[in-house]
Amino acid sequence: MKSLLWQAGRGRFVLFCVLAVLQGLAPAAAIAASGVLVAGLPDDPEQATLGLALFGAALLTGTVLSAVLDHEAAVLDGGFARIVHETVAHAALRTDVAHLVADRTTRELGALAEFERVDGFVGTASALKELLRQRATGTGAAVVLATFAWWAPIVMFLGWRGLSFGVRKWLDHGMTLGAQQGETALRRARYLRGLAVDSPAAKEIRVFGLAGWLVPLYRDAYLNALEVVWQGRKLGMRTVFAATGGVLAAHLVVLTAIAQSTTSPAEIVVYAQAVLTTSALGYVFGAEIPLARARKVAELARSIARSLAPAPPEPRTAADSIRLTNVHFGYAGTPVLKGLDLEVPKGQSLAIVGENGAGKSTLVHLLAGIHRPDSGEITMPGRVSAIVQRFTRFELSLRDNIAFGGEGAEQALERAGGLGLLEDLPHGWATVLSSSHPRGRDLSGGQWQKVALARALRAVDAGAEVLVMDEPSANLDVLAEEELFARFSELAGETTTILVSHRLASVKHADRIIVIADGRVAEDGTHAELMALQGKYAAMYSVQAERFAEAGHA
Amino acid sequence: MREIRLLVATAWRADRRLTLALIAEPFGNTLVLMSGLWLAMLTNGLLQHDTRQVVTGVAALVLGAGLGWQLDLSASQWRMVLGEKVAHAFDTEIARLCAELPTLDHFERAEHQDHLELLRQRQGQLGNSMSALAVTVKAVCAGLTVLVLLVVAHPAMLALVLLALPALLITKAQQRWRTTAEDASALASRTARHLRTVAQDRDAAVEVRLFGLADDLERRIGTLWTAQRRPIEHAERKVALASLAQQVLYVAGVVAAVGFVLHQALQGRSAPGDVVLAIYLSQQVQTAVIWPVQAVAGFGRTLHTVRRFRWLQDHARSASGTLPAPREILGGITLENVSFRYPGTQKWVLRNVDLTIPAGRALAVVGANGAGKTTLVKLLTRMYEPTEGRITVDGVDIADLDVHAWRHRLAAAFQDFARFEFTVQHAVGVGDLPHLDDPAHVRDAITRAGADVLAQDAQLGTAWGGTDLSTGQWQRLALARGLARTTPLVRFFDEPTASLDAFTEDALFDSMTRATDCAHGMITVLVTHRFSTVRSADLIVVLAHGGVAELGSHQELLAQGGHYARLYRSQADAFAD
Repeated sequence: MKSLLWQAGRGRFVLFCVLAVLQGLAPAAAIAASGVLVAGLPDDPEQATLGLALFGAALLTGTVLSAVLDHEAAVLDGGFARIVHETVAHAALRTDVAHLVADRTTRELGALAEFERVDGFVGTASALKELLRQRATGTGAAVVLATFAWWAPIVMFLGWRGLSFGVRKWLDHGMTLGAQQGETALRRARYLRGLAVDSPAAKEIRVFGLAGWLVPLYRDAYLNALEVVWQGRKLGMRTVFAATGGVLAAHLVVLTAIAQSTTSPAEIVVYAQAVLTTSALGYVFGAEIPLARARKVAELARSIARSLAPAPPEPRTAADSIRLTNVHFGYAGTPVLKGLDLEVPKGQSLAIVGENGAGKSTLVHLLAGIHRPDSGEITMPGRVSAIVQRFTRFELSLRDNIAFGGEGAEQALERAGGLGLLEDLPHGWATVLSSSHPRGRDLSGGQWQKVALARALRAVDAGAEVLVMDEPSANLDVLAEEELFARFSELAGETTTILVSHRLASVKHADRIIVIADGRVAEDGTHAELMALQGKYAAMYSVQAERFAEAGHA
Repeated sequence: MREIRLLVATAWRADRRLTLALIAEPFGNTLVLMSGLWLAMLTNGLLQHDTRQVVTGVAALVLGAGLGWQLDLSASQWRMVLGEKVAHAFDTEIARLCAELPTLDHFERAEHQDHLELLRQRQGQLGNSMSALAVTVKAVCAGLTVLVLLVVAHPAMLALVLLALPALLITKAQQRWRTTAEDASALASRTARHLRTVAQDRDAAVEVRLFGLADDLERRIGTLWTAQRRPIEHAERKVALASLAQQVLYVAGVVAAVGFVLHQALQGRSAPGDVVLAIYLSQQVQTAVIWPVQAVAGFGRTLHTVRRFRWLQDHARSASGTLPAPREILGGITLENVSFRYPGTQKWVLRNVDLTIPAGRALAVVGANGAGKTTLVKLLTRMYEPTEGRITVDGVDIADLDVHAWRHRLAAAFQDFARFEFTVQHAVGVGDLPHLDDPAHVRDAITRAGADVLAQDAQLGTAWGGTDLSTGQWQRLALARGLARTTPLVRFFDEPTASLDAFTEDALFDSMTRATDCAHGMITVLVTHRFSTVRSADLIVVLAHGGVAELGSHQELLAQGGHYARLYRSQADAFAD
């Protein structure tokens, strides 16, 4: 945790700690000054006035430091949260997708999200400041007390540390339980809450009237998870009661000794105040709980960064064709591709068809290098661009949604046939594609698909050799679809294009069509060849064509 | 005051014992605050060689320290648990309100999103609101105790309180600065959170890697964070400066007060113990007078969040008619001069649409992307209300119907369907809640949708040890959900086959047409790009530029030779060899 704060700003952090300690010493200085003051009673006005001046100076220093520290803490707090976010995002953006979906990662990200939900990761520096200040105050008081008797601060210290130990044990217990629950049961609760509140399911939640069913489901999942934590905390409380007895005993011993052996009121004032102030050596609630949380957060962030190792660079092969040899791939033990062989020469346009769940999208992910085959080999002639089925709707401007800060958004959108959507956008290219943005506007499904297509075409312009399109026209209207496939054939020749589609009328113009079934290539050929084969493809094609044919006769 | 009542009532419902304990805690705490008094007693006892005062002083100090600790500890435990309970109570309520908001307005309007974002950020604060209230009471009690002790030391020391008054004004201003800063950073905060979620998302991961977006996204996340923190840090600087000015003034007052009592003692008009009390108190006054003020201000912040919550409550309560939904449709559904534009925008999505859908018929809606097809569905399901005009069912404005009752008689499958990671049984069963756990009923819907992808008791979603499905398989489940209600008045299919293979699509068209034969005058509304589906509808409406361009049966429209005929022929030609 400290190292994260350190990263947030070295010089600033050191200065901050020094100032916090100084601020903590101010009360001890005030106590000492009050001793000087009272020593002047009842008849040494000069000494008393000096004491008063010192007293005032100590208070004033504390005040100034406090204001400076408050501001610095706010800055460092932001820095800490920033580093946590950046550490996680940096790792998540660069790791292998397999790591990202691993169980452990999901659990740790869930636990981190649970911490974030409570305080947004801010509050660490403020807590650290408070702890340092208290410790310095306590140390100052202990030094003052040592002038009474060497053993007195030790007794007080032991008393408070005992209590601190008890409390910490109790809290750690609760925190561990909390983290465990956060990773498992709370994750489910959060998922249910997301369904109820976030937009993807909003329409169905309303049409089917699911709020009344879903929200109690969430409530119970959450309460069941926390009940365990609450029970655990109650049990741990016993150690704390015992430790409080120790603190009382320490006070009794030291205060009695002071009352018995001192005579001057000045000494009483100083020593008794010092005894009471040693409490700053004990458990500082406002500080230690947030700090324990911050430690846990830092630990999680680092652990996530460790397990999300950066993906190794793709081996760059100079092959001039796509070649898949005996490729096997499956999810969690369920095989999807079972020994698939395929070779696509450079510049060919290939269409992949098959029933839902046959493994078409899996094949797309393998070609794109998102997944690696369980066994078998894949060689690619160069970089791959793709329009994927579940493309991302970035809450960024139209331009950034296509070019991400680079050039070429206009040409790409034009080629994707999407320039028309500019008419709908109040701020043109700068319009943020999200209705929740004050200068923003959401797009329809078909419009979004054009944006995703433009994204992929831009990557082709930038030198990708292979363009993969997974259902690029699912949400497009007829004209847009026709335009799309016209452009698609323009690309053929220079770029290898792979199209996955259920719309067989558009598929049939591809140089070559393959049918995926049972994890392998079941049929392979041109439209005419496959129709002549009278196999799966011919059957699918006929089903779609008949609907129009019937109409013709009617 | 209504906010405080809401807080206490919520806490009371969450846990009565803890609420009482927290309310009682401040009174126990006053004992600790009286340390100054015991210290003075000890000093005077020693000076006057009065053993009784010395013993009482020591005993009270010891007890005060121990008791204070135990109380602090127990109270913090109570606060934590009650905080979690209250936070959760509020959170559940927020989730319920969001899920029950009758329209989708809140997803579209930026200012509503800001409100919800701040509510989300401040949920912990709502949870701690009860302890914030307790702390406020505690602080006020402490302040009062110190006031009494001040009078004991010397009544003139009460003047110190006057110096705390500027703090009141300053804290109020500080609170305002902080709220303004929060509002100013809400947008950046929301976008940053969106991008951080994208960075961890497995679907987005594909494009991030293909297009090499990692560096760009990381830079944006960093920039947005800075933009989000800038107003906050700026406000904190102002807050710190204002506090400094006020505190310096206060310290000056403290020194003057102690000096005054010292002067009295030197003159022999006060006991030395009073000076001790004054010194001890002066340091406590600094916190004990400002603390209540700050606690009240802090509580003010909490109340601000509670007000946001009440805004949501009011917003959820607004509108919706009360009439029951009709049992059957006799005549039909009529759009009368309906116009619509999204809240806060200028562009008309639908303009002056007049359209009658006769009872018992299937209507197909076609048109280019962005022609307003999906908007039509949203209006009929009352996700939005028309900006102008009205929609009637058998002459009754649907806005006058109870929105939940109306929706209870609808069924729908959307192109942007939800992926409910439950068991298959529940993922489909939610389409007809009364039959959620009825395997035969759900089986029937699954069969009709051709959604026979997994066993009915199979869990969906890898995060829960279940299976993930392909997009097409998810869409089949969404369709099954749309078919689960057996007697709806209107059934919507919004691009129901976009991701389906040829066989499934073919089988589905039949089941959609069959569903139309139902009683109750059920209407089917089908939005699609695939003209092979459109042909079988009784009535086809072509939307263009926000209005009805063509209307009629397949044959009529083909004969007209207009837009529809052109589009239809182009698709049919694609199949002609």
